[in-house]
Amino acid sequence: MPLEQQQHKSKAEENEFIAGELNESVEIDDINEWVVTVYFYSALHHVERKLAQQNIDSGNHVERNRNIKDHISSRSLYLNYKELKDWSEQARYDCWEADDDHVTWCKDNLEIIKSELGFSS
Amino acid sequence: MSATNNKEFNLSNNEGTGIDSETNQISSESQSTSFEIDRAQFAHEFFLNQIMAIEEVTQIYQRFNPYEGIAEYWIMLERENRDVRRNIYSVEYDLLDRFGGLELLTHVVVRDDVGDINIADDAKEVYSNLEFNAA
Repeated sequence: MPLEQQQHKSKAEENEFIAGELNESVEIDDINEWVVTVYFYSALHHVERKLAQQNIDSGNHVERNRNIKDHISSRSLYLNYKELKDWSEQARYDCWEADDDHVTWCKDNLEIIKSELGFSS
Repeated sequence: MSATNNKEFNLSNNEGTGIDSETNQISSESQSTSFEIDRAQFAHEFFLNQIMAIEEVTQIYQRFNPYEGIAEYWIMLERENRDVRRNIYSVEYDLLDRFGGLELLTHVVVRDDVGDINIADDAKEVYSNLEFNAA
């Protein structure tokens, strides 16, 4: 059953909050990779929230890519979303170490994505 | 899904494909009559041709993902370069526009070796940008 807009909104905001908390944490070091990953999941839920407004639910990454093109039609959003996605994959699967610049870029990307979707606070 | 590393592949040589050589768009005549090329095959070769032309791309590694029925490409960069990343994503976005129905999944990674990707040997093909440029 497709998730509702509100569910995606809650999850997106929750993930963004967690990413911020992780990034500010002084008790846990070297977790930039998780910050990157959680920012990506926030972006994913923002995208799905927008799609849910049109009663569209993406079943996988390929569908989501196509849905962004077909139903959101924003090149800027696509570029920023894909960059987040690939960095999060590097973080999870490649033992890649994200630096502070990457965290800043991810945060910036998320803001651009929200703006493109009309979800800026 | 086999996108070949055809170094002769040239966008200006679309004879018999139904693709207009000037615009690289599918001609209206072809759409209404005998559009016989494998649309997906062409789209993948079109994609590879553009990505390989990017100097900073060192290798492209492909596998067929049987679970989702798509081709996946790992596009490798030697070092982080956001401009190049975004160029690649932009090519992908254009392809979605030009060839609606193209099904692929790309991963742009900073890596100098394909060995860490855990896939079956018989499913992999490796494309060398250096080899491509030498053609």
